[in-house]
Amino acid sequence: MATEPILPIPISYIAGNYYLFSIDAVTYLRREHHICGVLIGTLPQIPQQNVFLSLPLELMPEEARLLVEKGVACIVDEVKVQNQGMKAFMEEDRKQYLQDLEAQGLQAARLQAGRKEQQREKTLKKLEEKKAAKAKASEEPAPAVSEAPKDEPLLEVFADSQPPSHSPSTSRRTSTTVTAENALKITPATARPPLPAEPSPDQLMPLPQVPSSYPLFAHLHSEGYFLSPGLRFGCQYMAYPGDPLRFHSHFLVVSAEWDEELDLMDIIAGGRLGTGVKKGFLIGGAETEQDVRTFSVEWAGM
Amino acid sequence: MADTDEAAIHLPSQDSAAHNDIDLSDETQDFRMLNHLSFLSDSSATLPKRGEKDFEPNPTLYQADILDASRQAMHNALAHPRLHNTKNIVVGIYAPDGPAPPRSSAPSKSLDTIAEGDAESRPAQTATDTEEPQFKKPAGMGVHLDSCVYVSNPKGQFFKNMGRADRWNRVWLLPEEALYLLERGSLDIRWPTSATGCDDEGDSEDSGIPMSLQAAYACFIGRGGLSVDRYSVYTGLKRLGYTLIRAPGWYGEADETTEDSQNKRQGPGLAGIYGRFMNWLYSSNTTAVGPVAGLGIHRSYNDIYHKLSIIPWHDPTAPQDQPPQTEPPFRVVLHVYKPSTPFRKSAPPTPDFRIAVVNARTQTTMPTMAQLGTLLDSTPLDPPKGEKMQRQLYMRLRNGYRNVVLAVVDQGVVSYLRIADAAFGKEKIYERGAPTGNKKGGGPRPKFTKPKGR
Amino acid sequence: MASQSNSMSIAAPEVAATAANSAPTQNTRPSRPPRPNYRHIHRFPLPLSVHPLPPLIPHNPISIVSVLLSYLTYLISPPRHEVHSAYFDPDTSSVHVTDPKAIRALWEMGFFGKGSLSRSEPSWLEREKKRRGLLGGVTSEEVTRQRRTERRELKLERARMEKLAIEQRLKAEAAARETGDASAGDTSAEQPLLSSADGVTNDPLPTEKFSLRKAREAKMLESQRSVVQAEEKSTPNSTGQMSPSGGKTVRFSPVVQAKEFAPDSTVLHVTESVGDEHGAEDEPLLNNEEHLQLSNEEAFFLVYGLGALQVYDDKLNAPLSVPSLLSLFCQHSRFPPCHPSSDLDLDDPFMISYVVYHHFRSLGWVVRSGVKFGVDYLLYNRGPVFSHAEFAVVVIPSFEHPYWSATEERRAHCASKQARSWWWLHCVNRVQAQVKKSLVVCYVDVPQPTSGDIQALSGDIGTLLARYKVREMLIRRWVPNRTRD
Repeated sequence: MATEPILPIPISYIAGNYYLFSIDAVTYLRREHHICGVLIGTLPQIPQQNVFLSLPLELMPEEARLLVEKGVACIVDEVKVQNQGMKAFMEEDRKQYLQDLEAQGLQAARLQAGRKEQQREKTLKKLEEKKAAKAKASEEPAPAVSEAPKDEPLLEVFADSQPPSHSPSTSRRTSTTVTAENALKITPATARPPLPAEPSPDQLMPLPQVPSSYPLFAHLHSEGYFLSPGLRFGCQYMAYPGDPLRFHSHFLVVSAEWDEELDLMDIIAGGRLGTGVKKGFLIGGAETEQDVRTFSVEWAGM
Repeated sequence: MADTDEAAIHLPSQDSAAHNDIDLSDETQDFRMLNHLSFLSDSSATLPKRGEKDFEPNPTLYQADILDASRQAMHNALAHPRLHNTKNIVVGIYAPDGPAPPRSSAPSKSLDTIAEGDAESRPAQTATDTEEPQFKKPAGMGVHLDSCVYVSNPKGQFFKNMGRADRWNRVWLLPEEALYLLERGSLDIRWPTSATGCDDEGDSEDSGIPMSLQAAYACFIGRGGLSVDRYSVYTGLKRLGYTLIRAPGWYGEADETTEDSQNKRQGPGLAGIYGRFMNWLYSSNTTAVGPVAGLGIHRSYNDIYHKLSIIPWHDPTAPQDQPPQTEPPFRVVLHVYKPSTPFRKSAPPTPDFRIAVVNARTQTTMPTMAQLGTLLDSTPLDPPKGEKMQRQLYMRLRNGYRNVVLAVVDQGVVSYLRIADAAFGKEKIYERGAPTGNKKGGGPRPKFTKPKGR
Repeated sequence: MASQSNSMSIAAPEVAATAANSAPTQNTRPSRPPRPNYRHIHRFPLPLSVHPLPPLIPHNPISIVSVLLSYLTYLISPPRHEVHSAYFDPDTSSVHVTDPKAIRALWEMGFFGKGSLSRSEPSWLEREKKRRGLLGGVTSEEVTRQRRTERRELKLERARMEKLAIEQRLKAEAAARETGDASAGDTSAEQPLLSSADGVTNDPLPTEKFSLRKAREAKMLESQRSVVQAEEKSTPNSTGQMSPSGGKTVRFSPVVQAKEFAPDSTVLHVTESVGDEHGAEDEPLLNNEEHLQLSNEEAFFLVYGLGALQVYDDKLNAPLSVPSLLSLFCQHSRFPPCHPSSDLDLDDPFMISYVVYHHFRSLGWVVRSGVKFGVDYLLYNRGPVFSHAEFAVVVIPSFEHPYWSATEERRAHCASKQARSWWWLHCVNRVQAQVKKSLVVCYVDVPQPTSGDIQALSGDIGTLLARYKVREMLIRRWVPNRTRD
């Protein structure tokens, strides 16, 4: 599926926050490092909803820090990268880049046209089959299931960050004619390419500043939990036992200082909230730098 | 007995609108649900029901395969590019220095206009001398000073409530508008030749190089007061069909003058005087060490309650001594209109909602009374109206007399809170008499004759 | 339902008694007792008696006479003012009422306090009698316990079933691996492929999910089977006829019951052994071990606000004066309690919570503790037997007066008192949404200290309270999906 991104992955720092724009980086970090972030962009396929969102992926400073500490990622000043990169973008670069984009656009147009044709064929076929079925009522229905996965290769062409191969032979349906003027225009997700993949040293940023809950975050992450921002649910982090795509969270996590005075009422509320949604309310903190302890609170009624 | 409050949890909700809380966007949904959608049929795209998830990981291949499939589906969905058909492509040009006339016209004038619209020298002080604070217009351009992308071929529905046209028929977009349109695949923004190292020739600023999503974030977030938190609120609501415009508070200005405060400035009115008189009448001189209810014979419970009311409470309808001085971030920055509200961008109506945007990581504590109070005071009076409200006590209290929406943003996740000035003091429920005694309803009951003590 | 059975016996003991006689065994469902007449029991909103004047009709001289007459009678023999007694218990930092008459009066007229051994209304004696089989019916506490046990059982059952399914699948996958690559690819890869292709929409991933409902069904089936078996053994000839009643008997089958009550037996053991000493014949002599516990706010309101209560020091045998009671409560609003000598702080937690308590009481709300929901107060319209509390109140102090921000030290002090984290607010708000209540944040603006405050302890409490100010904000989640039109 995805190509492996080159390490360290550059995390874009823009106006105080951390973002990823490359889908390969997003997929890789999710799979290999259990970092999910939060998708904040509009999904262009279905833009009028908030259930499925798209790139960019916003990372918590905790997540960004963890990745930098692991040596998996580095922080780059994206505003600087863009300004410097575009200023250094020369005429020949432009020509090359536009050519690449056009090739991609052509490819996309071919696929689109091909798909249209395929769909037309499919409907025709179905009509025929219907006719046939009417004639022979006992005949088996069309194998619709096997046709469904054919969407995927189509989408996958764009899954690579590399520009697709220029040879027209990759296009599976050569019967459709697509000329250069019909090529689709593309708004790319990332700026690399055309900008150089490696940031220059002066574009690098220091370690992200993290809140005092970081030791607890890092501890739970090291225990295999997937963590995401939890404020909307009444806590600091949601802790998932596996990828949130497939698992419900187990804990509502709140961090406290080791010698912090806790209001019992807060614990009651937290415990009730957790139990009410079939999750544990977890309070944790660092006793010493290394030693993080966690306590799970369950509301037991009265 | 208090346990009946627990039992209520299991009852079907009578008042679902007030408490129903299920929201699909709360949780990460399985992207496989998207699989049957393709970018060719986005017109018919509807959302499937939420999928089921497992409780915890187990070592079965079966589970691992499903997870892989989910991730693959997510990867595919997000890898999908933003494509533009040559026939209906809308192209915008990035103007890093803000609004400026086109190169071809009046080359001599362009310099000072650019200076006027310079990105750095723009905060509140320029706005204060303009007559109309809502739209800061530089002379001659008629567009917003924070605009940074112009579209020469404004086609499509989006320009009905976004952007402002200059006299060369180019529509100028604010950074949030431009970014939103680019993100949803409805606008192709090009780098201007001047920002690149490419040859600069001809009249057109268009370098032909499309701006990537990444570059667009780098260029537009942080520009003209557009924090990513404000942007998240903006797009989150735009995606649901709301119309949003910047409120005067975006620039740190006072919100629209609240007419109601002027209307009521004449004094407490007859009702107020009557209230004071009654208070004086009922005020007992036993409050020093009690009993506040008095020592003598009580004629009625209402009398007792009257005497008991010695704690002052805030009356949101009372005239304000001075215009409220809100402090950021507790300040209305966005005006929101429902999809059904008729909207003209040249003359925006009264907003349906007013939103203040708060970053939960920088402002870590909830607002104090002063912060929240002045925020509410900066909104116009919006008392409970209508026949239903008249009848239903709880509804009236929930509606309140002023209201505002706080958007608390935690690392890209927005949670909205509606805050209302409830004014419990205006509802003397002891005057309402006994409820009918069934446990189901929420208070709203027709008035009964007071059960007089014997 | 819970409240019904809970207070039923107190309201109408004769009804309860008949219910007990007619339904002595557990296996027959006791007929539901009629709901007590709460409107009559709780017809007085406060533990004070009122004496309304006869209506005065100006053109009717007789009405004037009757008014005068009523004045006269009150003058000659003023109606006696009922003042109940209670004592302060420093260990629990609350006020105890032990006189049964006072307990009834304070509960019935305004819902003050709670039973020390009950959730709310003092009902320990009734529960105890029922438990010993003296009365029929089940108390709400028992219903809840039973419900919880049942749920726990079901959850265990579900976990067992899930574990079983996983084991089976692992076995199948291992077997598939052994039988060779070709067939392994078929069995293990085909299904996920199918489900991924179809999406989750039309195929909600069959075997991996277990709902509580399914577990319950499985259990029903199991117990039904055991009933069948049991009945087959005892009455082998009636097998053909038992099916219509089968559904009903399941609930009371010995298997389920044994399971349900098993975990409780340990809990009950302690009290039972105590009860055993008395023996069954002593039961009518059962002592009421319960008292009414008033929160300090409630007690102060009853003393200072209504004059319906006097509070004794647990050492001195004299009622405390109102100022010394206030001082005592302020000392006990912190933990550990502060020294009696210290001055009254205007931002003392007791002062702040009392201001709110008094405010809502004076508007006619029945104000009760909201600790179970993580909030300070619950507001009931008329009382908990009439309706659920719609509003849950949290109290937050506010320091608007410039005095409080004059020095760095004061600023820090106020900031620490005001500071509430966002997650806490969202947490409390979500809890209220779960229980269908509306969250009210009640801010209390604390006045600046003046020279007169010290005197408040010996002097004018009313003037002091009138310098506070409350402002209620109703907070609830705004879901933009639902306000679109």
